[in-house]
Amino acid sequence: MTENPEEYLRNGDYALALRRTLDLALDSNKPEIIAQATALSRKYREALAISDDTTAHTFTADARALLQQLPAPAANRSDNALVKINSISKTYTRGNFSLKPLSMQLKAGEITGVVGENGNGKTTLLRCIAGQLAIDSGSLEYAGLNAADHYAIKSAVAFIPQRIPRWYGRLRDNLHFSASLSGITGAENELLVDFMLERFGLSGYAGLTWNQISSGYRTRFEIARVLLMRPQVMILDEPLANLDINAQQTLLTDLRFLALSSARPLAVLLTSQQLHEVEKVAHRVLLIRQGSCIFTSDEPSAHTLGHALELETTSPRDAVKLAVQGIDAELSFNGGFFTLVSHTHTAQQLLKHLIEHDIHITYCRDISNSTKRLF
Amino acid sequence: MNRLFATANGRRPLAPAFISRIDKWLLLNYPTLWATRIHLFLWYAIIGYAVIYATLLILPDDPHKRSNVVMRQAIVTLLATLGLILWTIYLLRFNTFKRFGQPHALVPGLQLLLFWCMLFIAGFTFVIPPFVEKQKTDAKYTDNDITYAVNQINYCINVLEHEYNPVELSGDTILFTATYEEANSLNRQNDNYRLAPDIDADSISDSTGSISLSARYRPDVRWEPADMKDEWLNSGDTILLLGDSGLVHYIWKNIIYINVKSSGDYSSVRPLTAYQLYHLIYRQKTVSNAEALKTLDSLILKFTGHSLTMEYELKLKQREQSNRGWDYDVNEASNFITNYNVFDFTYHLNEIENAIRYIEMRKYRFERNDYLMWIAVATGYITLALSLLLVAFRHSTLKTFAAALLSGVVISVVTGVALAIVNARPPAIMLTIVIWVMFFHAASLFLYRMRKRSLWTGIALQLAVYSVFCIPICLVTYYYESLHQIYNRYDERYSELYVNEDFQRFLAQWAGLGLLLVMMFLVYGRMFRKWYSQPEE
Repeated sequence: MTENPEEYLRNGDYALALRRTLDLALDSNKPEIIAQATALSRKYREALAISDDTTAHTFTADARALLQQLPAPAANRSDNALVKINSISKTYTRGNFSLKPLSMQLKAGEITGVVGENGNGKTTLLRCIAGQLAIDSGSLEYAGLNAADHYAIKSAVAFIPQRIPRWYGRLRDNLHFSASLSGITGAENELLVDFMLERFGLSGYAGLTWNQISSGYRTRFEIARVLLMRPQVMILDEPLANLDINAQQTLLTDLRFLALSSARPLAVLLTSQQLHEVEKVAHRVLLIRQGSCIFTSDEPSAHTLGHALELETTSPRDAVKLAVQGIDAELSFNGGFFTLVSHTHTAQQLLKHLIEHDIHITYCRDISNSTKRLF
Repeated sequence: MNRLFATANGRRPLAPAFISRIDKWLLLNYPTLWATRIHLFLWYAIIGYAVIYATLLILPDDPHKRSNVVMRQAIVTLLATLGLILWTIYLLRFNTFKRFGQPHALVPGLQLLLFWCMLFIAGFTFVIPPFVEKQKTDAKYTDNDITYAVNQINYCINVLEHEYNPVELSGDTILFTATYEEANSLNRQNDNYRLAPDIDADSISDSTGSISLSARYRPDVRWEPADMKDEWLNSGDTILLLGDSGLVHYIWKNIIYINVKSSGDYSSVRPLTAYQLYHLIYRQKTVSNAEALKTLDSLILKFTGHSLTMEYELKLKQREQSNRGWDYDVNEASNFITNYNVFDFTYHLNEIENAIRYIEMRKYRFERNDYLMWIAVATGYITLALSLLLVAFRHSTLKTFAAALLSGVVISVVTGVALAIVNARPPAIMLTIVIWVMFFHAASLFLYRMRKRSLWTGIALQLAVYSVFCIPICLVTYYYESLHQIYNRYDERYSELYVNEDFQRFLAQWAGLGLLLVMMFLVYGRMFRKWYSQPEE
């Protein structure tokens, strides 16, 4: 998955093309290219949207001119783990919750999603990996981070909590502050902060304070701030919780772009209740229940559970039951969705069968490889 | 809060463009400095100093009245404290250390120095009110003005009074020998009233202007001439210097009504002695009574607000009717005017003296008793303690910070009570403090063995930071107090052992400060980094 901006331009996905172009410009590490990309974004933003052919043509031309100066997009996934999590467990001294031994690896360029119901240990797992909570057993190896001590580890592993900590002063000043703290000084600081403001659509909010922006923009700000500190691992706890549907999609796409960076590929670990959204972008999904990891999407065992189709319909339940009779499939209903599971038919075949039996489907999703079926 | 400090366009009130440019430059290049807000602090400190200075200049202040500088200092200190609270709130907003960036290892030490400087600047506003008071008084009275006025008052009163109270010199004098040994030698001769062998009576007569005097030695006096000069010359009595070290002190009626104290030390006009006044009035009198009354009236009006001419005749009549005040005796032992009340009644002597004392207090406060140095030392210690608290707070968690403060108080109280119960001597007390400091350091080192961030190692580290300063002073005190147990410091035979004590105590204070800074720069900063980044329980 290379996410070529040219393809977006061709299909008229200008916003996507712009964001991807900005990321590629950042990967170039050339100040003049970054400045050009920032200017392009500003120009696009000032036009508010591409509403006519002339603007579209101009933008496309400008973007293509910039893209010609950039290296071809290439995924930069690494097989070397930045963080190795070996059978870590955690029990709180107060309270009776325990995180059972769990192992995984975080690699550059990969997105790992952790899903599960509330209170099942997702945040505890994230905080342990971020070095915020002491583990009781197992080990955490940060060998890939090139960090001298635990402080440096915390610098390299950025943790964005569900509730963004309150910050003071103006948004722009906070970004400058974080950048200069990470050794980005002078003109480079100014350039990159301007860039990040454009990249995350925060330019119009640069002079505002915490109280003056919505929680969605606070999340965007926090990601921009963290990125300016150049982490190698980014851990996000429920980043989608405060976002609308469009913003969720934008954020997930951004995370995918950021993880794919050729210059600074990130290992991204996030938790969410939005199973399908996470599954769309994550290379690996873990399901945690009562402190134990009960499902990992990249394990072969997932496919032994059979094919599953989740659907909604306006047809009566009896009609659906009648339709599935005669095929090797098991139907269940949770009050909202029907779930159809079959070991012999694929999801497409099940869907085709239902349509042929005149079942009016309003929504359907293949959840064969989704953690959703385990809920 | 934001409204107080930032306008809609991000500009701060009263901050010119160059402050904004400095702010931006520091933010982009030196976040640690920027986070301390030193640039804003200094700018607003300049404004604050200027406003306080200007306000105090405008506020009325009568130098003849008792100074209300303490109240003004209290108000200024309150304002400075409010400013510091605002600054501290601002300081909490951006913590370089807790953002897990790439802070330099020297940052904690640098922060300590900067915080200290800033707090010291704020604390030093305490000096502005007395400084302004001095300036205003200086503008009104030069160093010579006071002495000159006092001389005039004494002269005029004598002019008005001498016809009624002629001064008669009795010739009863005391001769002080040049040296203590000489006095002893004369004493051994057991001759109470004989001339000192090296002083010629004629020469004394000549030097004192043909007044018939005889110089006599009184053996019960055991003063060195230099000491006598300091002791008695200040009282305004008449002492004549004989040669380099010999003094003759004339006991006679004191015709000095108003004394000057500090002004005499800083004035090129010398206060008139009784002897000089005697000469001016009895031998060279050129001023009429009416002129003297007019001059005196203006001076008394200036210092007290009373007009003498309006009441002078009336008061003289009252004095006559009361039949007192004309015969004042000379008490040879004290040499004071015995019926001072009579003259005070007539000339408001007490009010004049008070006014002069208040003026002198305003003018010479900074010159006396190392006033400025003591303020600087006190401010330095208080602000250093506050700076340490700030640095510790910024490198710790709220819980650990509070626990460390509480632990410090508990340890101090328990140790103090225990030492009091066993009636510990100073060396033992000093040793106990040093042992505690060592213990804190040893305990804090355990953080290198811990896998989790421990409250106890955090407390130990903070207490180590707070207490390291006192090691040198405790060791010096321990040494001298131990020495004192063997060689009594009040025994003159061992005085040489204690010659350098004060200096070494002084050095120990600076050594303590140096030790604190070195440790902060090289050790504590790293320890804070290690401790704070450890995972929590």
